Amino acid sequence: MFEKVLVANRGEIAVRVMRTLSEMGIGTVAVYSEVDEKALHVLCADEAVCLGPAPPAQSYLDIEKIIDAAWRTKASAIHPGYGFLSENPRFSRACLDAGITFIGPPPRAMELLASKTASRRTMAEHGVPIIAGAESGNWDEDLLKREAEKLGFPVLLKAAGGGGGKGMRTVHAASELADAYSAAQREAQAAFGDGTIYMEKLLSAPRHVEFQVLLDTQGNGVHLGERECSIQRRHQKIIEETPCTVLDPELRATMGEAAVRAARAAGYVNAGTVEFLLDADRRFYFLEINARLQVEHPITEAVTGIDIVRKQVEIAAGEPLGLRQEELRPRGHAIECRIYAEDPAADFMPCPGTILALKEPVGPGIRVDSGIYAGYTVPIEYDPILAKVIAYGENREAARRRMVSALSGYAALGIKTPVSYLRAILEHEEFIRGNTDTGFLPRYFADWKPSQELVLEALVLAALAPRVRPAATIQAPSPDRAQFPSPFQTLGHWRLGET
Amino acid sequence: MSQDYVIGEKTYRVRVGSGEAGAFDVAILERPQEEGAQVEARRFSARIVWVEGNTYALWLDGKKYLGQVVSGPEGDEVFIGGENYLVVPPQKATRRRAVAAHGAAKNVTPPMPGVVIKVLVGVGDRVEKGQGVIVVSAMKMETTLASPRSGIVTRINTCVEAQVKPGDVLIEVEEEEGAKDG
Repeated sequence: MFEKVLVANRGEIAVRVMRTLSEMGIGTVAVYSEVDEKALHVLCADEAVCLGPAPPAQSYLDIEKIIDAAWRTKASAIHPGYGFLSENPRFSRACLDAGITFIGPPPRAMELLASKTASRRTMAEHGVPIIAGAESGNWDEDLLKREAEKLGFPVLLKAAGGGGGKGMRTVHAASELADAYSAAQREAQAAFGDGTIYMEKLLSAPRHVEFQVLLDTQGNGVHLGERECSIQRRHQKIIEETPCTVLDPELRATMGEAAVRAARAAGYVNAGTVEFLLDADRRFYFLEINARLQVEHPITEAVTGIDIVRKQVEIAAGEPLGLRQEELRPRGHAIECRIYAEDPAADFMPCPGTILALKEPVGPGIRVDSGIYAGYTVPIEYDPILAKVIAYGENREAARRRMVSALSGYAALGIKTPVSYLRAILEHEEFIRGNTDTGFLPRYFADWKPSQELVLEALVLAALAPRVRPAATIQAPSPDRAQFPSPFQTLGHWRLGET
Repeated sequence: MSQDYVIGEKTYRVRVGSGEAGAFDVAILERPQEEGAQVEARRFSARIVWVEGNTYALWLDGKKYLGQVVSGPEGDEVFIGGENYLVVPPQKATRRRAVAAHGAAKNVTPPMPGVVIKVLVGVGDRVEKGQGVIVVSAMKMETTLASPRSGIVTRINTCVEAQVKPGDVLIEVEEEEGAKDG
């Protein structure tokens, strides 16, 4: 087993990965950019190495600097988290060349899957169903128009180089094609360093169902069941749950088997996620394999009791999976809500800033994976995900109610978060019935406004608080004050990386 | 004693008196700016205890809340019953409104800090109200900012890759002589 692992990421996922590493008795190395000096993942790690300036290209995406940091700290393996370099085959190859274990799939599988277009073709060859689409390395306005008309509007432009809603545009008419293409292309170039775009027919209101798979180096492979991720806003998942309300054991077994087959076809090893779209007639289509740990992996951990990060590390160290499909029996129901730094009252504009106060929910069946603390300033340079709240219950309704009360207790002041929006979704009657598809939010929540129900109560609290607040109370920092209440005392041991 | 506050678009006057057994008697009036036309929205018997940090326990007519209050740059940020509210003292509210109105009426300013990706117009260009004039990226998502009015682009105060923040006037658009839009 590894003695020390470098985590090439930031935010909540770096914190979460380090937690398991520490539990396994493995030393942790964080990397960070200049604006992240006081980020939680840096404070949680045993050692930390500064990579350079804030722009990702000069820090979290700089392969050479990260390999160098691993060498200098004598880390024998690298966990890439999600996003950044996690699905970049050049990175996993660079690790291999440097004699460092990459905790993820082998470069060859990644090379295939990093191209959403090449993986589409491989799946088709192995009998995994795919959606009608078109590719070209040489799009122009005419070709875009011809292919889109052949498929029929609406169509989806997608980045061949990666997912997560970046570099993706829905196009309803030929007149929008050129603008949508150049925006998608720029976004894809910035996010993945690859501006290649392909086109797919847009299915109407499908469900987004994905399967977690685990494959070891000895040829063993299982799936850990599905995650339903249909509650999406602009192709960004915000609520996920497992199990999916419309899968019966038979369809689950068929899709799970297809998922493992898809992973094998790609030569996949380690933890991965096979995404499918499921239409109203219960036909499923391969979307892509995410060759990384998913944001929403905790809900699978909740119902299976398996620590997926631990499995990733064990598989990377060459250990056998030790799991048999027929022995895996997920129990209960789990839901995840993603907390982004964004303002639901202003068209979900990202809103970085300083967190003035933070109270995270606790209680039976509640888990919070967080990358923030009171006094922390959310930088503008990175993805706006702050934290995830996961609720587990013995059935869907129990998990849903737990999530509602957990969100009611999630207080983050100083920045805008979508917490009350998420709660409104969970309390919507169609959500309660389990009628979720990717058209859910545009259909029911296009005109959502924050509740004004407790305005007068808030007013009384603001008016009376100064009367009882003791003079010596430590005031929360204001953004223009440089002094932050130090999280150093509360965050365990850490030391600065060599420079 | 009484104090005015603004939440969203509405102004409230809060009168706090002492009630029974250490409680406060709190009356909330709406529209205090039109003296004589005040409407008492609610009256509460309130008890409040400071718990720790920014946390308070509040009983309003016997109903209990655990809330958070912290003063931010724009006013008091309040968390109560799972909802967040910004409670603004009137001086700050007036300034905020003026800035917002000024910005909205005349200029193109980003709603959040970000980086300029692309300038879509040049000085002298005629633009329509709602036409995209500049692309700004924040947290890796691109947003196109629209011109708030029809007219002529008179100045561009930024360039590609510049860091910009709310309040920065990126592009100035002047109405054409004689051409007015609502």
